[in-house]
Amino acid sequence: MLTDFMKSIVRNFWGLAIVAGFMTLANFARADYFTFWANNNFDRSVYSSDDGTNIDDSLNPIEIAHLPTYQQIPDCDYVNASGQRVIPSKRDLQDFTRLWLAGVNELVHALPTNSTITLSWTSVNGEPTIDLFAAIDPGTGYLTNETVAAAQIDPVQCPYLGRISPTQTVQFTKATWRTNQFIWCGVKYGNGGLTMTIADGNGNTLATTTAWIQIVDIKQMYERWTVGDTPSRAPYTNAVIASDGILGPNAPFQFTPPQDTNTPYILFVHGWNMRTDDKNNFSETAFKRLYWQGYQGRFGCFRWPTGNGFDSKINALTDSRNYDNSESNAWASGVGLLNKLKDLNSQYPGHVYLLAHSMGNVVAGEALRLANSQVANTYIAMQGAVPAHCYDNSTVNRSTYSTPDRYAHYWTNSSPSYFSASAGAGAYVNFYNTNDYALGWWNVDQGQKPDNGVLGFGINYPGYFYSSSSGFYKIAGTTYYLGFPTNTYEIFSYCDPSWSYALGAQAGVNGAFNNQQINLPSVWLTDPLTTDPNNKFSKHFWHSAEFRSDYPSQVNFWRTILGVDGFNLK
Amino acid sequence: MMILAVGTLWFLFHKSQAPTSQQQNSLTNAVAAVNSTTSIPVSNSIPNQPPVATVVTNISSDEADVTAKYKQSLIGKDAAVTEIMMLKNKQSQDFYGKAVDQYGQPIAGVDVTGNLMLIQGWDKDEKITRYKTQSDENGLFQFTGLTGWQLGVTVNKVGYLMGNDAESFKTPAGGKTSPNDRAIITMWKLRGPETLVGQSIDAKISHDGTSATFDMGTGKESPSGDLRVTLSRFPLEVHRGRDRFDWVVKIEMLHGGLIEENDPYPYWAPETGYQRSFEFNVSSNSVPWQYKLEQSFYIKNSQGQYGKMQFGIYSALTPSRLQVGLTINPSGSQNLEPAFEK
Repeated sequence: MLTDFMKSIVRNFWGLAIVAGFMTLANFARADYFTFWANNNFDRSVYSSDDGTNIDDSLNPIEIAHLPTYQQIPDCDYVNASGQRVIPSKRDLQDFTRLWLAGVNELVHALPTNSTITLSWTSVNGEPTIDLFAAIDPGTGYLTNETVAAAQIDPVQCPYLGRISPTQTVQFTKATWRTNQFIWCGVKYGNGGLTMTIADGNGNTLATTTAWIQIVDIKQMYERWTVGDTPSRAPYTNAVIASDGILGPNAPFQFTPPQDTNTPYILFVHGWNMRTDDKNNFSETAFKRLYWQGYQGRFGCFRWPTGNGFDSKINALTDSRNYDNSESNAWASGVGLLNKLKDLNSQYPGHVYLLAHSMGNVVAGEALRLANSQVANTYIAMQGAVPAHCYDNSTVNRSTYSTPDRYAHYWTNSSPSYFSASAGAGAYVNFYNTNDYALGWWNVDQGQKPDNGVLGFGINYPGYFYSSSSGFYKIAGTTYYLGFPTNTYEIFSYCDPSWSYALGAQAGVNGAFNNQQINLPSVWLTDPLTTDPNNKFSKHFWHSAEFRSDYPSQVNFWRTILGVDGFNLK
Repeated sequence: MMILAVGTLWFLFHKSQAPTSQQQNSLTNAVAAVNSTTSIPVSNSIPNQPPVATVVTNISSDEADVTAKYKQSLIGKDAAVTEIMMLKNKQSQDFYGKAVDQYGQPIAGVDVTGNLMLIQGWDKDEKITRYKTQSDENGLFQFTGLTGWQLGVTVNKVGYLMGNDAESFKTPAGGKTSPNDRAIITMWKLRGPETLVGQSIDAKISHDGTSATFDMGTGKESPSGDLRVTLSRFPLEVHRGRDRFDWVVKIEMLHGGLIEENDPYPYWAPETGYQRSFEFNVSSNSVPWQYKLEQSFYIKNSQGQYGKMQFGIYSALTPSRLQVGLTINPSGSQNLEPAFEK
């Protein structure tokens, strides 16, 4: 028998509240499903014998194949060696959101003996399935704090509580109730009402409340545009929607036209040496980390045909120009990116934001140069692998060469820099690190231009040369003279070494950047390998740190992307 | 063996373009020049001549050897870059350091880790080997006999803090340490954490010279507050990212004072020297021009309490944006040490 006081508590029960990011979404209407992605990737903490530590990364199929067999299952089904369902890594926590059963803590002690609190699905479409874990605390520290995250993945402190599917429920009793704070991840796709039912020992319902939730593949949450993913084929001039990796009957995802013309759209452009699944991986990491920064706008990636598989000396021998061939494709992809930016800017006028990483800044820079008017509100170049002289020919000469610096003076000695008239973005921001590993080796690649001819392993390459009297030329059976502007991309990719450092390794770049910059070490602060400021953040990892490791270690980076020095969307 | 075979194939492939004896001499000379001086004169010759190296900066002889192989088409471009990368693993990484506290006193028993990194390729994480040692009674320590790409050094001792600032890790000019010219690593000897009170301000403010006053206790705008910020921008209308403009910001502590803070360890506020206001003036012709001010200050409020203010103002935004982080020690002590995470 409930006392009047208890009845009052039950009537005033706050209800089930889904907490996502920094929003509390209490009693979502059915028409407004809270949509969250399934935890179907492989975020693992991989022990590296090379450096004797564990590094969190999202694995691609080749890397997955090297895992023990029992670990070759997606994170949503991950079990440890003992068969215990656990969260595999701190990185995987970015695939979890909070579930707050508001009011139950206050209510549970007053419930009759043998009362139960049950979580189940109602009114389902598909197979909505989630896994529930106890939360370490009520906040979002599991996403932002390394110590809290480490505690969250500890199965002793935060045990697995069960799976909620159309055929499975999670039930607590007064005795087993610990807290009203949980985190959960999506296991299978579908939607329905996640319903909490409080019943007495006879099965009589005392209170019930429902939140409407939809679990989807993350590829149904952002757009994937591509101008081709085959390095040996020239990029298309108009991007198409990518259809790889689409599961089940789903069509490749495209947003419906925005209802609100102020809706922002962030378009991400990847860098060099990415397989298709790596491109998806980086894009999805960016999407998730922007989401956890509270970004409510739309997101898409722009893919272009970079070479990939360059990770060893053997590859370097057999694939003699992976980097420069990719650079050639990057320049040629600029027109496709521009067309996509124009298209997006017509749908999201003034609210398109361009985010490019590494060699993706060749693509981005060329697109914005080709634009006659503004097509992006703000462009952020992250660790840009494009000559700083393209924007500002007054930055320091890294080296001088007998070849002319046509990035700094395009295409005569008295001309301004190549991107001097870039008008495609309203604001340009340079995220740079003078100690960047890959951009250090970018210097060496530049220093080896013009590219020599070579024949090996059935692949032949023309040789590129320069003479002060004849300019750039190549020998491929016969001699071809190369000139501007017809052969600009070929000259830049294979012939003309940059005299400057890469944009992403250079401070104080003016021109379109107008000295708007973020010194990445000031964002990252701590390098666990050294306290020497001269060597900090020089390890390979830091070239793409924002996509790697766990979210807590990169939270400040993504906060800066959306902050006043970046897109100014916070 | 494989590389030689590739080179042979290159010459077979280019049979129709086989260098003349004169061209072969040029090739030989070019390679010799790379080996001897690494400075190659610019070729004014006609096309179809064999390649000449174009690098005119100094490089090591080993690197020149790789470049020469590449210029002879014995190896491909990416292989050349990779080989040059691997050469960097041959560098001596001897390191001599001295650990001192903020008073310049040597610290004995500091745990020092040397992370020796070896490059494994352009797109592969480094191989890292860790070496450990401790500082002696004079704060001295060293790693010797190590060869690799880089040696990253970290220090740790209970009761001390290591900073991120360059002032806390000073290497000799040129970066090369020796027994007589050591890297000086300054650690902060902790006094003990204080209970500090924090507050933040995130506000959109006018840039037309109208003052905004904030209550430092609540972080809210309040006419009776004690932090007044006045931003003036000329012209009023600007295009973010494109335009350079004159701007000036005045920061006033109406009932206290502030001092610019540029310390590697900002955990002890000065007792005196506080000014009522600070003004930052940027001309559109400034080199380098900047659109923001991000500066930390020690502050002293009307109750005589010490604290720190991290001040940021972003003048190019319309409306402009003010972001301030405030930390006060309510006890009146100058100690601003927080409870650092262990």
